[in-house]
Amino acid sequence: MDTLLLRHRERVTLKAIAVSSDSSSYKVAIIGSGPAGLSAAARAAELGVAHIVIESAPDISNTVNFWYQKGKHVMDEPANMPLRSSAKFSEGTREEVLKAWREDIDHLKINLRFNAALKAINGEAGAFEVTLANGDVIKAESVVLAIGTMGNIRKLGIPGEDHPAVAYKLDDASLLKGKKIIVVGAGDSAIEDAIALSKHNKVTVINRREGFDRAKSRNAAAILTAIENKEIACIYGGVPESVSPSPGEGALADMIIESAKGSVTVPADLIIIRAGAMPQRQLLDSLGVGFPNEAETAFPIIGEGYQSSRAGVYIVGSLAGCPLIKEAMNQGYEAIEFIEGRAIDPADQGLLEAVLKPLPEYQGVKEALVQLKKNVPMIADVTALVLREYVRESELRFLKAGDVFYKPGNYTTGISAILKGSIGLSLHGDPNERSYCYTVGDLLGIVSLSAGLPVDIWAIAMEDSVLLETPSRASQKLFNSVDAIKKEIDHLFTRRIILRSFVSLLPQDNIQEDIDEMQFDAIAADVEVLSLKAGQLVYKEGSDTDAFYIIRKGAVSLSREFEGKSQVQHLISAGEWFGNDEIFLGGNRLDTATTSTRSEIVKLDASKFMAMLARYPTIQHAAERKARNMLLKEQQKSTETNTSAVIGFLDDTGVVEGTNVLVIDESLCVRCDNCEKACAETHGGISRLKRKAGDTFATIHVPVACRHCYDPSCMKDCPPDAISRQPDGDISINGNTCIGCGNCVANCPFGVVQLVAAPVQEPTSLLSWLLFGKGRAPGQESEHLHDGKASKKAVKCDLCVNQASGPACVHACPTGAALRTSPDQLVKIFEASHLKH
Amino acid sequence: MNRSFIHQDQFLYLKIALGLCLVSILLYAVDDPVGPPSGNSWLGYTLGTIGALIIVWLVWFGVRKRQYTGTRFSLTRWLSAHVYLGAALLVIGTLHCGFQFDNNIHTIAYILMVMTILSGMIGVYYYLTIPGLISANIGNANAQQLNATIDQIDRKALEIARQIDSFVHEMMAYSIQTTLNERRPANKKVVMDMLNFGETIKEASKACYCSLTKEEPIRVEQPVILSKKRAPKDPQLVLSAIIIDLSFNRSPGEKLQQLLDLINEKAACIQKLHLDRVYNSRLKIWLMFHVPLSLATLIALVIHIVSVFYY
Repeated sequence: MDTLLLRHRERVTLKAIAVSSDSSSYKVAIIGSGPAGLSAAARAAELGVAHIVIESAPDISNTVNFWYQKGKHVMDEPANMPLRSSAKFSEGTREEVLKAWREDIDHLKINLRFNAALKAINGEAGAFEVTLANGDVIKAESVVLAIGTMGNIRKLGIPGEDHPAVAYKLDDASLLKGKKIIVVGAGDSAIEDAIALSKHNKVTVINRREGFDRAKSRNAAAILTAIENKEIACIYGGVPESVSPSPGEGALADMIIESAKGSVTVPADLIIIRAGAMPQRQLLDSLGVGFPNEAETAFPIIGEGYQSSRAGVYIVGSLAGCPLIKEAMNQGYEAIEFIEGRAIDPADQGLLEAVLKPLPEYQGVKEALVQLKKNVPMIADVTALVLREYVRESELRFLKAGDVFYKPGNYTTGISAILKGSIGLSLHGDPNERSYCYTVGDLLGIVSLSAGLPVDIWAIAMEDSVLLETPSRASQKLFNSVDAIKKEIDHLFTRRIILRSFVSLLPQDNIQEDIDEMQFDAIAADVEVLSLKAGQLVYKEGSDTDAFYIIRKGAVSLSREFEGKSQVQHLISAGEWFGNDEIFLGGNRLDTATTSTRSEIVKLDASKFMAMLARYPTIQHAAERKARNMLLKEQQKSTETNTSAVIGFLDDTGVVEGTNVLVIDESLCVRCDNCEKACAETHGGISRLKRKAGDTFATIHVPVACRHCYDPSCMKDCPPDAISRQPDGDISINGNTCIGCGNCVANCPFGVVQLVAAPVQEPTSLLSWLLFGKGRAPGQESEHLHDGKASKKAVKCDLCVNQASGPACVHACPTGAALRTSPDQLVKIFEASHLKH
Repeated sequence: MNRSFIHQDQFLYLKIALGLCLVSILLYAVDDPVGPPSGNSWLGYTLGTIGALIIVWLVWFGVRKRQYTGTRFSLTRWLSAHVYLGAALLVIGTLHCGFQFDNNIHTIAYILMVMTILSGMIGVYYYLTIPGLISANIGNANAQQLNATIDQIDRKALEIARQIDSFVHEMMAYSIQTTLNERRPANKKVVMDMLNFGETIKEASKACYCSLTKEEPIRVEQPVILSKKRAPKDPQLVLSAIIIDLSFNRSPGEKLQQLLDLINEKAACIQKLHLDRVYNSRLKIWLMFHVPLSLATLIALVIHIVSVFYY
């Protein structure tokens, strides 16, 4: 207890000194010492501008320092962008990068203050008062916010937390053996750490609550089993009180925990605190920084010269929507230039010029951007920063009259804006067909981008045309940056997806029906968009029918009661509609609709739609006929309980989210693993599928391999935008731009992405191996393919797009057990084969 | 199911093979060679050439199986054709030799070919039946998960045994050790392990029995385990028998019942694991005959052809 008291006293004195040393004021206060913050500070220091950097962590650059693995290779993407900074940065290991920055700090005499968390910014431009968590106040004329997006690690704030045995993350569980370890927390990361460590160590979990219901169900089950089997000890209702050096020889530190049973002292060699991170949005809202909308993924509004909506507060780095180190450093530098009153051309000027130069009547970047804003009304209101990035990431595409832009089955890989000419849409690609026409300013590819659906229509250039093609992430970012654009895109999407559903009603032989997209405008303007979690009810069997539903994202299962048991009848995936048959035929709901995954569903008023349909008697007739046929089929199906069970399985295991799933018929699989060998052999020695792992139902086995989801989670948070959907529908990772951050590995719910060092496959000579046993056996994974220095990249199934014979796993299956197919095809195959379980 | 190598391309290769056989038989029936039918007639040479080409092509399957890039036809197609054309060889080869057998290299080549084809047929039979059996046996689990389940049971059982008394604890520990050795991941040693399995049961029961009598805590009726007609397939059952015996000599407490339940559960898992291993090894074992035999056939074929043309 004496030592604890002493520590308190030390803190008090330290604080007093800190306050007195900071009474001076600065021209600029920089919050955060990551790449953007450091670069800003370096420029300020170089120019002799009075500055201070405030860092909440005890060391610089929390993300690189703390979240990156030791020895991680840091890339300097985008390669064509020049570095403009007073601090050094080049491709290298995490340690080299940090070392260079530390040298810059010393050499430029950057004024840094650690362990200082930002609490509030008061005052206005020219006279800000920056208040820190410990109560200190710093005066500054301008503030540069470079706090990134990783959030602040939540600390316990208990005495002794700075003990070296306390950590907030786990580097490598396999390195720890025979240690006493305390894990504080009951979330997923705490559980995952505890379980990984429990194999070789004595682990105690401190859970503030009585259960693990905050965690994923699988994690919760795993830790409860481990606790029951006494592999992990758990103190429920435990509140950590303090950490102190252990007096005994047995451990490094003692943690005192208050629990229902009173105070307990637990000795430990390592204390891992997993209490989550503080969300940034809350902090930013409290700082008065404006956001374009409520979307969690939205970035703050940033104007000319990186200024936020609060005058005098500048935002740079990944918080400004720029997650790459080099760009962030450029922004830091430029922000100081702007604060100093120098308007400079952004560092990406050359890149923009490269994109825009081929334009007819090109006069310069500035003029071209103005023209672009004029031509494409949707982007008229975006800020310069967003627009520049949008253009930088884009590419011009020139089409001659009659050129096919896309055709049914294609996936568009982003948004294309028409800058010149016009594009006609038609159902059959027939030049004589009457069709709808998009002209200058219209955007194409919205449905495909938003829902991950293949195109179902032909798009053909009606005259010589110029389009600006933008990959998905840059497009999404643009949409999220301005509320109005997001709304407009949502509306456009709804209108087009209604059109799509409407077109699906057309009889096959009817190509002359004149359908105008605009007539759906009124219906689209008056829809309700339901955002539902997995397992939520949309409507119940037997309820009234008043609406249609179209799935924008996610999937829905339709089930029906049979003899008191609910049986899944259908899986509806993104882009499809449901609840329509009852409306065409009249009557109450035939099924209960429940979401399978997190879904966004468009709800349309039935009467309005029917009123419009009445204008097209032939289509109405066809729709009714279709619905009747469907109903007949279903009556036969309802006795097939096996089909219902397999649909249930596909639903449960998330197979329904995939567009192209690897399935193995276990009644044919001879377990030879030739599929894995084929995959390894065609992908640099490392198999991207795991046959043994995965889910099984009856004889249907779904191994762990990429399913090329409609709405891929891997794609959601890829800093260099290296993951994209290819025109053929496969989700591919661009190995050249992947920076190996591992976000996709963490985000994929099916565990199909892996990080591997760029393999150096030794060539294998089949005959010399067969005849003389020389070299590596074909398909054999080699563990010594890399030297350990090569950078890691994310890899996963690429559907063997480069192989004329299709996916190697399927092509190399001797018995025909392996196939790649879509979930609905799979149900059909299952029905056809009459498999019994 | 209709995607399997048997059904491939609507039995295309079966049709080709049958056609080949039919034509051969017809020609054989109408042909009237000088002397008895043999490989010496024009038909004999024709059939021999076709047969030899088919054999070389069949053996090439071993190479094709390992070519993962730049191939046009899927391996399923290759296997389908391999199976049906291989079976057709029985007819073509036999007609080629005109039913003339003797103590010479030619007949040896023929016998080797027939043995290869027969071993292949066993393989086809296994390929068609065993995958379903594997699924039926272990259901949605796999061997790794079963092992994990057994590990869990072991841990629980050991804990309960400890609470009963030190003797049962020791027995349980011994039993777990024995099954651990059994459960080592199977690879190339799988066949050896299977052969040794019966031995281990005997060893285990002997050891259990010895340690019982040596310590002499309770007198066990001598022939309980070894005299049972249906010898327990697993050391776990041996232990279970012993504990049942023990329970007669003391009050069968709740703990003991729990332990017995666990042991039975484990025995069921081990049985499944064992079957799984048998099935999986069957899928591989036939190849150990089929491949050497096919190579031997190839060599004998070369000698056969050389000797025919030499003499």
